Amino acid sequence: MKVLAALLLTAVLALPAAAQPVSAAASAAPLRLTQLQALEGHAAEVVEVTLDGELLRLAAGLMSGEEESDPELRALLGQLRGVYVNSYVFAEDGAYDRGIVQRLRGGLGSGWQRMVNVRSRGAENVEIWVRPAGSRFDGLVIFAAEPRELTVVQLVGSVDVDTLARLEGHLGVPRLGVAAAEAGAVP
Amino acid sequence: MSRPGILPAGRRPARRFGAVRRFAAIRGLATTSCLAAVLLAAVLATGCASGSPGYRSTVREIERLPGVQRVHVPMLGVARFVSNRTGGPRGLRLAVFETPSSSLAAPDREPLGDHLARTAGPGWQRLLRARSAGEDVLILARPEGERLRLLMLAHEPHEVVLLEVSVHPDDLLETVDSHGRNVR
Repeated sequence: MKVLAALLLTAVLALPAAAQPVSAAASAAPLRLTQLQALEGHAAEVVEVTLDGELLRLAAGLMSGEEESDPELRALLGQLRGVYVNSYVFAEDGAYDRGIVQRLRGGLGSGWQRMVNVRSRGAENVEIWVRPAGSRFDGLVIFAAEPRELTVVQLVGSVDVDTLARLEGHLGVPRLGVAAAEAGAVP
Repeated sequence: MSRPGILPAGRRPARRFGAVRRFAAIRGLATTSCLAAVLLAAVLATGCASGSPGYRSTVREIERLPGVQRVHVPMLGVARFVSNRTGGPRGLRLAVFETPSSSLAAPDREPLGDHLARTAGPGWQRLLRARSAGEDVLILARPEGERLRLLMLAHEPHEVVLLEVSVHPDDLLETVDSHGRNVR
């Protein structure tokens, strides 16, 4: 499944970025995913990460280890205004209504475009939605749904696929193979 | 038997070694006294230092909950003393509470984590909340100069642990990554 996601991402990355301006009013706050609250009572594990404001500015200047000297990554984080992760793990298959993704998607509003859609019967479905703003995006939402797990990631601020690739595995952002796909897209 | 060059002429070895023993005993006593004084100071310092306003208000909020009893944590002062001087987290504060029931809620039935996040005071941001295997963890964070103050609340059945530490910002990502690791 991850290979399929990586291939699809490769195809997406090979395309020129869809560029549509977006109104300034639509580019600020994170989505209010109130439907997710209904899942809390049924989930065996819940993880919520909220990283914005001053904390995000601190994070932008502190990537450790070999990343410490990576000004590009700092610049990417510096352009973000928020990282929000909601993850739910369930004890058994079918413990949650997978139609919730459709309802969440319906709440995105206008200006959002689906960039990636990976579907697999009985396994993992991944959708990546973006809101184009010039040559970049001003918002990115990932819905990753498995029979026993649902993860929703929001990146708010100026973001592109490179940002997502660099954040994979950090701050609660799941590994989707974006970095591998991006590396494969380079001739 | 005297050994030339080691003992002065005319002095008996027993007297020489007796002096050494006395000196060693005095020095040992002094070292022990110093160590005890340092440890006592550390313990007293911990007792006097009561944490940030957010920590204090959170402790008060937990203590106000019906049936909750604070538990004494032995040697906490020593742990804090060592932590401050080994480059680890600074300003360690720890409070442990026994709770009468497994599900603890604020008086208005608000979930405990939400209630404490609201009452911790200005400047605190909710960074992470995790629930797994009956344990709820809430981490609030507040930038503090070049460092970051974290207020962590862990709620298990019949026990609440409140921890406050000042960490280097590098630990922010590590903290989030370690709790978010089970995301995928």
